[in-house]
Amino acid sequence: MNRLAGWAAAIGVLGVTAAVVAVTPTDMTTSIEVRGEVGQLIHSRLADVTVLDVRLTHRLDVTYDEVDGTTDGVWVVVDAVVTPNLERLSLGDSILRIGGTTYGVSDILGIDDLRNQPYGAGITLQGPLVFELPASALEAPGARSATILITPSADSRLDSVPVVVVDLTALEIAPSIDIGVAFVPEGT
Amino acid sequence: MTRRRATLVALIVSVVSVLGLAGSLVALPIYYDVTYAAKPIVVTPDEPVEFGGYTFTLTASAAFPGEGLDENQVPVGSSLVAAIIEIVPGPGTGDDDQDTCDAELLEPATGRTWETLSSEREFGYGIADDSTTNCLLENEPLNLEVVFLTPDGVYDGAVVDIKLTSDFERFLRFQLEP
Repeated sequence: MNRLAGWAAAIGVLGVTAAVVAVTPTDMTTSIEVRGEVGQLIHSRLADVTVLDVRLTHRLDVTYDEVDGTTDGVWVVVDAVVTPNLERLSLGDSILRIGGTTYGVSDILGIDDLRNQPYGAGITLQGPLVFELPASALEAPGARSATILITPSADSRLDSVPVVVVDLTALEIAPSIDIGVAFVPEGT
Repeated sequence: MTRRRATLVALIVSVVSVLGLAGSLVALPIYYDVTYAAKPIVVTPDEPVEFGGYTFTLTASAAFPGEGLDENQVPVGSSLVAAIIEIVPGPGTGDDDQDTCDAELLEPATGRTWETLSSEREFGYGIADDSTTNCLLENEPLNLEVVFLTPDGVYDGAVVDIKLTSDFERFLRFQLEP
C-alpha cells in the first residue's frame, strides 16, 4: 500500500509540474509594460514619461538641419516629455507596434531628437520621436490600437517600460509637421 | 538502509542543493561586484593626490542656480555644477605618455548621476581661459573644467568621479567645496 501511495505521489508531483510549465509564459524576461494615455504621466524605474501628442504626416520639416523628411509612407510623430530617474538615457530602442509588426524609432532627426538624453537624472527633456511606417500599416487591423513603447534602456528585460496605446486610424495625416530640437523646458 | 533513513538522506540532499543553488545565484554576483568593481579614492578639495602618474587637485567648484532662459540661460529649477581639477604630470611622465579620462557627477545618497555637458555655452557658461573640457593627459599640466546640468539642490553632498581609461581598478572621487 505504501509503495502504491509513493508512486501516486510521484505521478502527482509530475502532473503538477507539467501543469505549471504549461501555463508559464515562455518569454520570462520580457519588459514590464506600464500603460498610460496621451497626456498622462507614466512612471517607470528609469524614466517618467508623458506623451503630449501623436501626429501623422507625409513630410517632416526639420527646422535645425537639412534633412529630406519626405516619405512614401507616413511619419508618426510622438511629442513627449521625458525625465530620467537615475542616469543619462537613450531612447533609441523605442518601438511602435501594430499587431505583430514592430517599427523602430527613426534616426532621421540626428542626435537632437528625444532619443538622446544627454544630461542625467532629473533633467527633463521635451521633443519628438518619429517612426516611419508604410502607408499600408495604417490599414492593418492593429492600427486601431497601436502600441508605442518609450524604451529607456537597451536592455529592458524585466524592467518597466512606459507604453501608450493610440488609435492611428483616428488621426488625420498633415501635409507636413515642423520638427525642432529637443529642449529642457523651463521650470521642470 | 531503512526507509526512514533513506527519506532523511533524500531530504538533506534536497535542502543542501536548494541552498547551494540559491547561494550561487545571490552570493556569486555580490562576490564579483565586491571583488572586481573599481574602488574610489576619496579626495577632499585642495588635496593633491597622485594617480596614474599625474597629480590631481580640485582647485574650485561651485553651483550656479538657474534664473531662467532669458536671464542666465539656465532653466529655473536646475543648476549648473562646475569644478576645476588641476592635473600635473609627475616626474616620470614622458613625451610619449598619454591617457584620457571620463568625469561623472554622482549623488551618493541616491545613486543619481550626470554626464558632463558637451555644450556648456548653450547654457551661458564659459570656461576659464586656461581651462579645457577635454580630458587628454599628456606631458603638460592642464586645468580640467567639468560642467554638469542638474536639478537644484544636488551640489551639496555630490562628488565628481574621474576615471582614467588606463585604470579599471580604481578611480578618483572628488568631494566638492562646501
